Amino acid sequence: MSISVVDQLRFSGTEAEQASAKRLFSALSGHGRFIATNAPIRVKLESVIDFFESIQPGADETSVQRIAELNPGIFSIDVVDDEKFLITTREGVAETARTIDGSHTFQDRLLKPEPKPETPPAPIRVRPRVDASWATLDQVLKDFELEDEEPTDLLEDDPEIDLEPTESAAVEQDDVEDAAPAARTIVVPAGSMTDVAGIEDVELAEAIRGRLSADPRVATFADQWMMEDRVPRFSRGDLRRLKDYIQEQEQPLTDEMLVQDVLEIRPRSSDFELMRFALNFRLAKEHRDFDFVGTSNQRFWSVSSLPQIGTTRRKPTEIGTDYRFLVEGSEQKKSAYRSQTVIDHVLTFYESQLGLLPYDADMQSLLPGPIEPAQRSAVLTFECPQSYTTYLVELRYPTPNRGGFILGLDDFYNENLVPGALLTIKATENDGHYLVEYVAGSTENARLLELEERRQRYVFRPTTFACGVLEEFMLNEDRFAGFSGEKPLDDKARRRPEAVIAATFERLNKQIEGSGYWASFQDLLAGVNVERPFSENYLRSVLDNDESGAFARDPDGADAYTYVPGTTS
Amino acid sequence: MSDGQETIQLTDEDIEFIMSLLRNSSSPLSTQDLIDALRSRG
Repeated sequence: MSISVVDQLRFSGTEAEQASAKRLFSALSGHGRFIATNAPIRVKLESVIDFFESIQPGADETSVQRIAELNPGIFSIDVVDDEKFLITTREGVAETARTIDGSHTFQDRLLKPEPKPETPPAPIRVRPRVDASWATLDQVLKDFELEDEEPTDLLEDDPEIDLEPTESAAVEQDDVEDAAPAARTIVVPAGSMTDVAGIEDVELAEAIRGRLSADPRVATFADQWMMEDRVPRFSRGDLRRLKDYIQEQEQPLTDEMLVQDVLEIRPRSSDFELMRFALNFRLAKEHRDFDFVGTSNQRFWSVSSLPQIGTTRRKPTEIGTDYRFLVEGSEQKKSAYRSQTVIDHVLTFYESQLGLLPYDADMQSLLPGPIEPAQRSAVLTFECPQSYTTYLVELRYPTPNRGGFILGLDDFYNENLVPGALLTIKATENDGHYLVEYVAGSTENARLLELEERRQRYVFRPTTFACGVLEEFMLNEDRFAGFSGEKPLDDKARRRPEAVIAATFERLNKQIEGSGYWASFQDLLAGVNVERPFSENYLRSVLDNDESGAFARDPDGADAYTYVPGTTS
Repeated sequence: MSDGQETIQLTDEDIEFIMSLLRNSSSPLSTQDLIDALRSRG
């Protein structure tokens, strides 16, 4: 059972006045029944009189004011713009009787700062004292000639050090006034910005690479830079999916393919470039699982379990050894990467058999260098517009004792070319993509040299071809009949260029009176390239510098050499 | 002193400028981007 507020209030006045006050309070508290118990209920005095008259005929303003005056703790009258209001609250407390407790407010709590904590007194600094043993230093220094510096400065008990940044090198100034205590001014160089206006881009790039690549806070890949902590990371699951996808496709894939197909990010997405960089940077750290085999514009990734690109007739290490002459002696020329846009090349028998090209100085000037310091190979695309075919080829970079070469052109050669064909390789804007073309010719038939795989013998077979060839390099039966039925040289003989040249002299079989063989340089060059690669310079170098005396330049021939057997082994 | 063959050395302030560029970039910047920024620096 609840007791209403009105029953608890004590009204003053006569019994009739108390009853009137009680009714008046009930009416007002009913009017404000939905507001807070301590919020003022303000009703115009005029309305109160109208209400009062309706329940108590004869009531007027005086009687209402009388009730308010008799109960000042419950009612109050307020005047706003000549309008009178009767005010009370649901808890029966006149507004004037209410006091606001301002001792603890949010305003105070949030806006008024707490008083500063009292700081403890600073500890007394121990002043450095010069050890007494230095007192005789000035006497010692007298023997030395000092230009602007007074050695006594060093002995001041309380040197005041003033740091003033300037752009000059650090110097010490000695502006000591007679009256003032001796003070030293040390001028240190301020950090200054380099004026880059007169510096070439290449030098600036080198300076930037030099500083940033050594900074562990910075991530870099293929001449791009980013703060390491902003490069997205990949989970072990992501890495496994990337590896599996490359294995499924059975060939190296570019970063763009991997980001689209595995990470499912669209090329037009704002994150695409960021994720490409992240993929390249993060995979480069996974040496055990991933190999970077790309170029700056075409970033291929491979895994160790992929099948080798190109021929399996010969191991890449053996081919590299065959091309060793490219990294030593006169052939060792350093050409700037991508400094040429087009090169020509005559296909040899060795290259045709293995579907490869040498990475000689010309090729180096056309193709890009490795992006990563430990990069051993780069996968490139060679497009042949004449056959509407694009070949995935692998450039094996040279090592200190093996030459470089390009593998993967077997199908292109088999379908279109014969030894002696003239090739043109053109660079494109994409440093990983090249156009390879041959000189188209009318259809011809000739009996050309081939290696019969099953019997491992050289044979001549009728061949139809429709490409332009240099006759000197074409191995037809008319000029090279002596090769027919010959077996390839064993590896021991192949390794010795002199042995290969001697065998070629014998196969060419142009005997001279007495004993010995004769051959034109062009026939020799085409013939030795059946067994192993020789450049023109390398062949001439071996012939001219032969210490055994077996080879000699023919003094009568235009450009020919002789060979006397028995002097080489 | 300079014989034109010396390697350019960037100052700490240059590097701090580059680092601030990298910190404020949400995508990778190329070396050429950094060179252009160094040149256009006020």
